[in-house]
Amino acid sequence: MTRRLGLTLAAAVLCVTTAGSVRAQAKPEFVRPPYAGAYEPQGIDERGLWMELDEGERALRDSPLVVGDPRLHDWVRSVLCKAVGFDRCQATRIYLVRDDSFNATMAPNGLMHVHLGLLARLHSEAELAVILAHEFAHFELRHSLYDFRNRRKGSDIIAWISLAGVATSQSTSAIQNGVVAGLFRFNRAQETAADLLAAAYVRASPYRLRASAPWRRLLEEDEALRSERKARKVRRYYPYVTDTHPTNLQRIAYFSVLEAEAGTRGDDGAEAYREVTNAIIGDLFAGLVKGNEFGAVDYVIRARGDALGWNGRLLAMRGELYRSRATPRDLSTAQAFFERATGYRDAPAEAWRGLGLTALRLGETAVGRSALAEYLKRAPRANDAGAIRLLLED
Amino acid sequence: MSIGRIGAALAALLCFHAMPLLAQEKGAVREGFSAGSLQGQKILLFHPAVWVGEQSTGGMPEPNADWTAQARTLLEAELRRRQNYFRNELIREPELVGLDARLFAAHRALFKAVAGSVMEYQFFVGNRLPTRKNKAFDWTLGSGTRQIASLTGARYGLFVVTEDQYGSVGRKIFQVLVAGVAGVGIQSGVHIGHAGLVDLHTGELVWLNADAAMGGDVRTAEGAAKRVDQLLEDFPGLKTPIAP
Repeated sequence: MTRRLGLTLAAAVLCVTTAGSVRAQAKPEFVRPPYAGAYEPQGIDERGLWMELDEGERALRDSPLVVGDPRLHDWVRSVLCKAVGFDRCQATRIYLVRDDSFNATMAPNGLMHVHLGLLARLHSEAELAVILAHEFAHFELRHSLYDFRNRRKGSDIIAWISLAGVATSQSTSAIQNGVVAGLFRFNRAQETAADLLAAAYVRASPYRLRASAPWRRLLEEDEALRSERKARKVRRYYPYVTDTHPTNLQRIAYFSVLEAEAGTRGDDGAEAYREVTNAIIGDLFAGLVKGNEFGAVDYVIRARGDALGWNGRLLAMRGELYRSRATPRDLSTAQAFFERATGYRDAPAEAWRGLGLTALRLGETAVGRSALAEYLKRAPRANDAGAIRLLLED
Repeated sequence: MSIGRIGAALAALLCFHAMPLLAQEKGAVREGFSAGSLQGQKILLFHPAVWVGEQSTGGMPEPNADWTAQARTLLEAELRRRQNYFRNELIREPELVGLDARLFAAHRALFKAVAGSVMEYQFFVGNRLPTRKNKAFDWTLGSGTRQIASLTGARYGLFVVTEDQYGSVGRKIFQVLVAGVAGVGIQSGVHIGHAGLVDLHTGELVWLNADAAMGGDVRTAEGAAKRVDQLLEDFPGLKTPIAP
């Protein structure tokens, strides 16, 4: 395990060194290593992992969890390709997955999951680029394979140590804990290495390096939730023993340094990001507003509105969030959001539905009935059209 | 790099402390279903789930691509060879795209969940639910299977799942030493599998056979034959009884 740890640390150091030399020379900033293409897994372990993932991908490919929107898919792929280079991005398959969490994952065979919850929380192509590049870096550095071998070696060591402990009647829990801590440390080192390589990729791409902002917003989202739940706010710089990733503050710290070095050169891609994601706001936020993290989701919607501008769809989603919690004061707030939403040209039919239902609940029958009638006019084939018609007949 | 994978690693470590798995095998046939129901009906074989690898010294599963490919070929060949023993025509899952492919993927996943529930909550002691213990074998995948029936013309769907982790040399040595030093038995190798038959017209699970300690080395032709024997044990539609 020590040797593997050493290898990965060496890889991490290599990335830092690369970034460091960039600082000294200014140009050229980062030369992508040559890419051969059509890589085939080598050896029993790697071929085994690829086999497992290939089989998993067969099932994922046809899963209802995958969003089958070719335009959205092609756009995400184009951001990855611009970030890491058009040659090497061909080795990956991207699957957009209906999952509300802020995450993307990379499998050793080139399968990439991108969660809709990630797209809901980002504000520009540049931010997306660095996250996709991070996942790609895991793939290129073959992290899954090294992590697998590291875990196997670690569990073997623990097995032998515990046996030795039984044989000698000595407690070995301290050594075992040390080995387990080493497994998590190895994981964090891989994540840092992927972060640094991703930053180097993006600096060599047309995008501006915007790596720290998403982590800052994640901190604020977490604090919004904690504050709503009257929980203690936690801002940790140093990770816990069992953390699998560097802390958000660590990431903000090292990304901020790299951003300062990179300067403002490059494209933010905020306009393109707004245009593509505005068209799917319903998909991005539908699960989030139905969840149980009111404070966090309200923060995510507000942050997006403030950064990329408010529109009918986003306001209707915020209205839906308040309508779902449904305290009397929430209903008034929701009604105001729905009303504002209906003033926009892109307002979805659901804005009138929300407006009508909240108004009825607040006793404003005339307003409610007219809004619901407008909803039925705009969406006569909606799933709940029958129920709404019944409501209007009363 | 997920927490789940770390959790899996820790769970693997805990295998060392785990009691040896009791040999357990169980099958059930839905009430009212018999060999007669299968008469002249077409059976659709869903893409079998096959996983073969090693178990490391610490108990971690290590996938092996060659062994898995070999076992898949041998098991499928063996099932094809058994066609004569069935009273029915056995057809393979078609390669589909688009919505039809989604339909099949969803039902493979659904079978996995339902069969998993049967084994966990009804078949085996441990986590068995009081509401299922000694109760009728009454499980269904829902009426969505009807669409599969109309797409393929099959009346029944057969699912086959096997997982084999062969104890590595390290694991075997470790097993012997643990037995000698600590006097406890630890498991070396995992060989589990199950097979189920679904009535595609109603969605009902009509037969399920599960075995947490299967025999037969699926990497060899003879072993694969033995494995198929065990998987299809008690299958209502077989012409000849299978040797024990």
